Amino acid sequence: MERKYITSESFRNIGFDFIFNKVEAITGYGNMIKDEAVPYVCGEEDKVNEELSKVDMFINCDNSDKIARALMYFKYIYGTLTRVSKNVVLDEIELFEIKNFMFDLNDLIKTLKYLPKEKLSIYEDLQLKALPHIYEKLDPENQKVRSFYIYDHYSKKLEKIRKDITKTEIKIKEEEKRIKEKLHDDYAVTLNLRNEVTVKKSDAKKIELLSKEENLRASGENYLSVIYKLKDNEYIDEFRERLDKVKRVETEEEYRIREELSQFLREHADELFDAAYKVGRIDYLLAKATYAKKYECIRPILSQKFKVDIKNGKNLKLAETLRKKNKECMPVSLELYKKVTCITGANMGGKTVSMRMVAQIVLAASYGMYVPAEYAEICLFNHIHISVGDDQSIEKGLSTFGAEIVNLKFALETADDRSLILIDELAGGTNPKEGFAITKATVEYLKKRNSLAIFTTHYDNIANDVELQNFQVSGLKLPENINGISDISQISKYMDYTLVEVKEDNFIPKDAINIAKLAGIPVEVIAKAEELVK
Amino acid sequence: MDIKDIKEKYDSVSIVGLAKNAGKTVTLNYVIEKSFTEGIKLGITTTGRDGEKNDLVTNTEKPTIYVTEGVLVATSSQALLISDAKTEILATTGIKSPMGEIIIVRVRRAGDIQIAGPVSAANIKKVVRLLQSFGAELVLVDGAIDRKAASSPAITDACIMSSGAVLGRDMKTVVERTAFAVACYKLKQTKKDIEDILSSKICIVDEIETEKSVDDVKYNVVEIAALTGITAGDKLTEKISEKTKYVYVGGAITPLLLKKLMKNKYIKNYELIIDDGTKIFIEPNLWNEARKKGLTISVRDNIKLIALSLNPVSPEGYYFDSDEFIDGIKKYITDVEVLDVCK
Repeated sequence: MERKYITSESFRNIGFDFIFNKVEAITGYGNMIKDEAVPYVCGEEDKVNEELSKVDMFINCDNSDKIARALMYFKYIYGTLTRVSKNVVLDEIELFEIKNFMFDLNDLIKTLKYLPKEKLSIYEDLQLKALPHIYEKLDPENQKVRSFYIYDHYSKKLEKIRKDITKTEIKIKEEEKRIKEKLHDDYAVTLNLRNEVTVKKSDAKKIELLSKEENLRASGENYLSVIYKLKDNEYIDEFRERLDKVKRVETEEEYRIREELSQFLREHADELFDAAYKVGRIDYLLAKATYAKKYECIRPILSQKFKVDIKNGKNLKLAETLRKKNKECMPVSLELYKKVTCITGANMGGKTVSMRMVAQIVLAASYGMYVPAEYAEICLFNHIHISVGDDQSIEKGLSTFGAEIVNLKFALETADDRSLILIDELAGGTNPKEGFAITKATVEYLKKRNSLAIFTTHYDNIANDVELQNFQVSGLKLPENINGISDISQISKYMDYTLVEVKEDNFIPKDAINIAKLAGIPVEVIAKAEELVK
Repeated sequence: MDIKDIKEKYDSVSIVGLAKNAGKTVTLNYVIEKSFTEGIKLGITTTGRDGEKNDLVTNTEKPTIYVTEGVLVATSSQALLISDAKTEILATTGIKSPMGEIIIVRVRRAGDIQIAGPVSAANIKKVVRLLQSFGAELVLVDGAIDRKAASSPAITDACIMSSGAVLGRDMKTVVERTAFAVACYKLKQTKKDIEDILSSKICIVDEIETEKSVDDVKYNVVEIAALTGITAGDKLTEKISEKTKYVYVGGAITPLLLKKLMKNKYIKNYELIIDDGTKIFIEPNLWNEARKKGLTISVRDNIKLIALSLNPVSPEGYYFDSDEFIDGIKKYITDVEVLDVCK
């Protein structure tokens, strides 16, 4: 079975779902394109560059709000379009929807003039064209209004039938009017729109007279009154019969016209679907541009070689969470040029956050999106996988270790097929001796594979390997004279999250003890720990 | 009935019946005919009913109405496609109903049309606005008074009420119940400064003592955690004290709730505030008993009742003398036009 680019668990664990949700399409078509989007893989660098150039076009467009407004009017009629392509006779509402789709298309096309013409002409998927031949079919009387009706103009026959209907109805009305006037003159009764009149039984004389009147029949009666309704005479009967017949013919003719229109539209269904696709593409690209502007993202540079070089990148999910608390997210830089990288350093130092940030930026670029950094040069991958301790599979009944091992097996399976593999504190929950052994062996294994791997780890002697890169969290920068803190979350105030590449093995960790000290662990314990760590 | 005057004063009018077969459709047709004669451009819709789809399509009352050329209608796609009147489609609304999407049409050739409008209050308002945007001078909403859903009189600018012999065999009872309904519609509106501080949930408003003058009263609003007035009774009475000046209950006012309030000794001290007059589902005698105990009431939404139509005939066969019936009603109701739709 062919392996997917990314599992939905990894997608979520990386936090990319949050970022992808910030690409907000306006129309159903845009959402459809977005839902179907797949990341570009290794070898498709040109395609990513083309997509990014299209995004550029929308970013640099000063009138993108006008395009957005035109998109807002689109009603999502994919269901109707699907019916167009099938062998069905469309109803008037569906024909109305297609006519309105033509209007919306024209309005959107008008706003595309705000995009650079010379660039637009290169990209076939953005060349939205009006469909005047389809529109004309739905506006045969050239009224240029959005409403729809089976117009008389569709066939001479229909026109003739309708004239006939009108004429016949007038004849009936005239005759009814004549009788109604006569009834009014004779009995002083006024019939309403439905040709009825209610007469009180107390008016016995009138009841007697009206009951005998040949042009009336008692249509209803209660204890109080009698309702008389106009009775059709032979003359009216004749016209009514005619009216019924002609109306039936009208219905048949209307059906024939709808059938003909449906047939015509079916022949042009490809053009309609193509237009819907292009509307979706325009919408999706505009959404990517809007996201890029809103989150101050930059265009990533695509490298064909193994490379991830990020300057002042942000984990957007964290940055947004902090922004809501009026806090700033500290950007992180790192350049990966070896197959395996270890991120080491203090607890609470943002190792996992930084690792996720790398994956988020790689994923965003692979979807042809701008990335939240000051500079980013990255390569494309065929697979991305993350293994974190708090994976949701724990809830499925596996222990932390069990879930990790399953995840690791899964990640290693594609290690020869250009993967980005992120492993957070591997085997951190098991005994240190074996945990170290598994981690070390996995690192050794991945050094020889065709993938990029990032580990975060606490184990000694994993990172001190010249074939590896090692990044260290800068760690606590405590002001002098600080004795303690009341709340452990205050640590973040003194934490420098930036990463420093460590080239020599002369580093003694101390932040864990420092944090313990700040949190108010007894002096005796701290002193002993400091002694032991030396 | 001066339909021109109504058109000048109101943009939308709902027509509601106090009971089934009270003559609502006859009243609706009467208004349509008047508008046609006066050349008023009408828009028509109905409040749909929520519930099982099957039940809605087959069993609910969906009035079939004769509409003339130029009338604007908002109805569901299924109802539209089987109508006899020839219509031009003006807009699809995106509002879904159990009988399909609500569509706005203009009648091109007169005929019968089945009207099945949107269900929620917000959507009815939206549809009314759409009908107006297409040129309707007066929008009629064939309405419903509903325990749960928003009552149409509260959605539209004004309302016409239908009542009739169907309410009971004894004319005196019918007159009383009709007069009671009218009285409910005419309840006074809550004072603006109080209305402003009320929450959207059930709450009580206590007075806070201040040392300043009487005019400078401060209030404390306490929300009661209950979903509807139906279940709020005990929780409310627990919180009501001698300081309570107002009690707001959203939704239906039921006998159970009222009885709970009547057992509470502070009933004379506060004003009960309800959404609008259509939310009272209580028999007149219990209501009168509560009033006698000193309960005062106001409504957040005032309903403008412009006419009362009476049908002296019940479909069960009995009937009242029309003149006697109207005279009886007029003894109670003086400032609302009374129509006998069977005349």
